[in-house]
Amino acid sequence: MEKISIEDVKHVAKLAELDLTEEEINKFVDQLNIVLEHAGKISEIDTSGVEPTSHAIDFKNVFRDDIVKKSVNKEDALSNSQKIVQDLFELPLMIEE
Amino acid sequence: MEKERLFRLSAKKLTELLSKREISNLDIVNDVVERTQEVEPIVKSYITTNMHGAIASAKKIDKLIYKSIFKGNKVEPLMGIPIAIKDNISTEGMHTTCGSKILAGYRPIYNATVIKNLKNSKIVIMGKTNMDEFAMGSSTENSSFWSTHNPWNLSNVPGGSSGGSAAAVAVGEVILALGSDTGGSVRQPASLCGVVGLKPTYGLVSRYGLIAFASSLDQIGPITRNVEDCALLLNVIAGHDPLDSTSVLKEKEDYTEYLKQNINGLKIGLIKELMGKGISNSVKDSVYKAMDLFSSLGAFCEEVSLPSLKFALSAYYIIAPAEASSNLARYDGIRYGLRAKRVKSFRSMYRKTRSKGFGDEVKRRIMLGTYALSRGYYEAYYLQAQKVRTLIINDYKRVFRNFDVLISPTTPTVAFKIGERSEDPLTMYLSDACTIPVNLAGIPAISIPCGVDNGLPIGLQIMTPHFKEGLLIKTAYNFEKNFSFKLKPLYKKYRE
Repeated sequence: MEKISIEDVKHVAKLAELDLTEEEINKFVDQLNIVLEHAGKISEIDTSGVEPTSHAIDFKNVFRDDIVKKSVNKEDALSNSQKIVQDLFELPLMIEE
Repeated sequence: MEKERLFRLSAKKLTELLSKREISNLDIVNDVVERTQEVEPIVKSYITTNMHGAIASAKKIDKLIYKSIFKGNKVEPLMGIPIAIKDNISTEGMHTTCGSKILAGYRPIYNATVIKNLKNSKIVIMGKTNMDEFAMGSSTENSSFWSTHNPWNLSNVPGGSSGGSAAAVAVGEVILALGSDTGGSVRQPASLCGVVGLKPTYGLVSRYGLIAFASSLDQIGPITRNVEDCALLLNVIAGHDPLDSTSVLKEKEDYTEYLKQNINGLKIGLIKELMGKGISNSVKDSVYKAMDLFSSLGAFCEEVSLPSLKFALSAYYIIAPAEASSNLARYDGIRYGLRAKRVKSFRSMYRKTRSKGFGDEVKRRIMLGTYALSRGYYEAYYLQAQKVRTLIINDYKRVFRNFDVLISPTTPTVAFKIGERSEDPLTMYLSDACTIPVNLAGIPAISIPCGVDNGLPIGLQIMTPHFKEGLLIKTAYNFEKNFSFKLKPLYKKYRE
């Protein structure tokens, strides 16, 4: 498989919402290439006609009745946030200028 | 004469002593607390301890035990026995960090289902154990707090990611522990610390309240000093939970029933692919000797080939990071955990929080997973890995038609030195080569001590088909009963 480049790493970091330092980018290019070279071995197997597995145990859809139950109270739900205003989470601007 | 130290005893033995009223629950908890004070500064198993809470619980439980015995009832199994909990399992009001700075200060507002089960059985929680950040690692060096040390040799790793739980059980800081296993994180540290670790079938134990790493692979499992205690703890945590839709609706079993059975006529297969390159000679020798021991107990042993296992590690390092990259998107700094300061917009807060809060290995896996799921690579990596997963499942199904049980080493080598592999991700990943196929197939497996190399324990992995935990326990118990683990009295080493 093709090698991952510095540009690829920068692009993926953007998709993953991570700010990486130059040092991290350079390190990850090398390390990800080594890991992907190993992981790329899976392309050697012939999987034509094989169905992909997402879960090892065969689950059908799991349904339950739609009944309203008591859930978390507001105070608890807000208790771990760094910033709350009255009973709301406070956030910086969502829309960038 | 020196006083008898209770921390050395099994849960089973402690229950006997409680029943005879020879000791109180407070005696047990006090001794475990004392032991923790003696060794914690050098082993560093815990992130958070709950010593005062545990002592208070023990006093209450003593009253219950007194009432129960007064009424002529017996002391329930594991009642009052101290347990340590891996720090990725939610405990209401008790600091839960997942070994990460991004969750520093986080106090869950609810208990995981396994914690509810422990509390219902009156098991005493001693604290939360150290782990690789978000369970990503094989040495506990990726904890953003500190490294835990292997009790058998302090300059070596305890394994990971449940390294704190395994070390605490091995050194006697606690009697029982829970870990979680996504690619070997219960079995590998159990092997490296010379204790017993079991990964249940996917869906046997509720994942509700387990902080997610790779949801199709994660399972919570017991870490104990012997197979009987393991069966007792599995009895408590197994069972259907409506709060986890992947938990399986199945009748409850008493796994201790299987301890009474022998293994005469059992068909055991040794997996050829897990005995090849990369497995150290001492490990191979011990596994072959284990096979001889099984034969002498009346089992029929033979080598067996599962060719697709050669690709398991590669498939895992696509699937697990892909699932993790999606699961870890929730750490946005809004509702819990770290929040980056001095930011102009939501987007920059999200990015800065994650960049500051996640350590190297977590970032690496998020990158790997995001790449494998990104446009142009999805089919070559993620979809292909899922197809390989099918082939692995089929291989297991095929051999389980002819064999009841499979065995292999748990880890390729004994515990390595702290720092030895931390800069080389691929070599670190190879530590899980023998345990990973089990998670991909969703089958149960146990690691038990089967030898010693240079003062460090070697682990034997036993595997069975889905939901055959009973057979697993029976096989492991028969081995344990007939094998003398030479490292047994490690406790004296840390006496001041």
